[in-house]
Amino acid sequence: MSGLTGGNWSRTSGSLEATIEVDGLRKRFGPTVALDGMTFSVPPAQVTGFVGPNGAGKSTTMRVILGLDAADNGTAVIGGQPYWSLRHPLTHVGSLLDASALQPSRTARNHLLWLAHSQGLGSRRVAEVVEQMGLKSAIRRPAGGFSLGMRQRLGVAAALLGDPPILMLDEPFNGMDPVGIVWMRGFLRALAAEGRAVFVSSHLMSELQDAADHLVVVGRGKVIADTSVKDLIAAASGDRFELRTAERAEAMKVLAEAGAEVTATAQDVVLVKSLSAERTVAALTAKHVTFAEVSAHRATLEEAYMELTRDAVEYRAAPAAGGAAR
Amino acid sequence: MTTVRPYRSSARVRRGDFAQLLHAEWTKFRTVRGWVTGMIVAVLVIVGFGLFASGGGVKASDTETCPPGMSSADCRSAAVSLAPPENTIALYLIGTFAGLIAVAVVAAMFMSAEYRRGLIRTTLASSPVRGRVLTAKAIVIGAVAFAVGLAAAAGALIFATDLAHHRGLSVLAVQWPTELRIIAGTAALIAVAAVFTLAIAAIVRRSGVTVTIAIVTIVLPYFLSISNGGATGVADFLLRVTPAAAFAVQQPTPQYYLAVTSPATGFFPLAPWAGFAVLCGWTVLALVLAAYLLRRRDA
Repeated sequence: MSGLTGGNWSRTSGSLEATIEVDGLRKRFGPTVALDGMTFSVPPAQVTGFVGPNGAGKSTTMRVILGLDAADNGTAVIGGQPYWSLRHPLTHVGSLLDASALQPSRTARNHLLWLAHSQGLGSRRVAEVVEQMGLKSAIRRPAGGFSLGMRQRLGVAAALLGDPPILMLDEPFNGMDPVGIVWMRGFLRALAAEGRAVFVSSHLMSELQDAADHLVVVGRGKVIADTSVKDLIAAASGDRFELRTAERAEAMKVLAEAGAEVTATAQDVVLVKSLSAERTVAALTAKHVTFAEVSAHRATLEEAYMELTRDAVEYRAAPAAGGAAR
Repeated sequence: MTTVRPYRSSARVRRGDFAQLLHAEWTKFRTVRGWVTGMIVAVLVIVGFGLFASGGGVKASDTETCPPGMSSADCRSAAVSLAPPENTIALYLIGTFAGLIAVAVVAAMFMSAEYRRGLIRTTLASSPVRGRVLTAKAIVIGAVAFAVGLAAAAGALIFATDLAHHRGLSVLAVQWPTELRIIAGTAALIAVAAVFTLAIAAIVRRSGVTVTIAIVTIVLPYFLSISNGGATGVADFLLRVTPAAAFAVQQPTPQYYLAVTSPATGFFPLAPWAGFAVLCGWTVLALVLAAYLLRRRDA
């Protein structure tokens, strides 16, 4: 824990500002660089998405924030205090790292009960979070028999026990059914609306669509983008636009000659980049290529993310045949 | 960005961190049925062995008792002439080793289960000062094991003595302080052995390896010396230096009463509390190493 215990902080029980601040975290596991100067902060009253490909260092960062892993360098603080100095830490930060980290033979209720006891909370608080997460019918069953989706709910219930101003959830959508995912998005938004800082990781940007306000995009152990969802989409959309035409092949040839970057995105749709709409129309008209529509392209969050993490993906399959060619 | 008042936890927590930690670890222990069962089995095994030893172990006609007034030389010659050694109340606690194995298995799992599925991260996130977590776990498992040892030793001695009387058998009488020391000592032996096992589990993080180490260091040396028929040579040495030395707390009589000196009849190379101190020493060492590693390693 050498990286986190160096300062002269004292154990605190006072109220803290609801933020997570991570500054210059570095960590290697043997020859592998897991964290390479990870720096960002998580503000209150927002859902902050923590996205990046598998192996980008998301889980390691979360473990360092919780004082579970020691960073080789850098600091991670909760409202200015290192995690270990928090009294009753679950009343400051509720976390879910791995929903399957359970004693399989212990009932869900008893799992929550020992956690509650560790913070000086009673069984009443357990009943409240069980109610909140819709777990009431399953609470007396051994947690080992739960589906992954149910374990996620149990894990979130555990994170909520101390009614913390900061929530940190690692891949909470994993194993959830579509209804569960929609519910979870709404739930996270509601928690943020209460003023809490909600920090949620995912390797699938689509899961965070409509849930996150702010995004910290990471790859290879560092932050690639730290931006609002709105700005990210705007940036990714760029000066591109979509051209709808029946003569797709012809249009692509003409526009490529005119200096545009073209990508076929559908049977009759071409994505045009690096050429203004006016010049595109002019070029097509000059060559007598007909087209039906020219419209501004609005990138999805997924596209923006793919664009950003293209170079940061550690394990990537060969491009599928027929995929978008650049 | 919208300005929202920072959220304040409404959780009303009680004071007294360490008591809460003990409460949490106790809740963890009592809510796994297998662990509670294992501890009950330990009691039953020890009492069961005691009953078997008092009833089925030695026939009345084979046994001569050594009355307290008898001189040691007479007693020795009498004992030598008979095949089975003297009965002492230590014989009724012959099942201690088996009960100890059951307790060690539970103590190992109490810690290694944390590592098996990553529960240790939840534990340490709820109580980030790691040494305190280890201390709380040690106190809980030690207290449970002490209760188990107390119930088992008292039960074995009371029921086995009773049964022996019914069958017309008698044993070397011991003073009540000695009997009390044997009962409390057995409980302490089991308690400290459980803490020792817990510390080993925190070091190696695997229940199988932990139980093996516990059996090899605590039970095996004791068992070797029984099966050899006497604590001589290697067995004698092992009963001085390994954690098994603590079985000396069950020594009921001055050794010179007995012709065949074996832990089965109550002879140990070390004095009762000296033997117990050896186990305590090993346990302190294991705990210090466990605490060091727990603090140093990534969870």
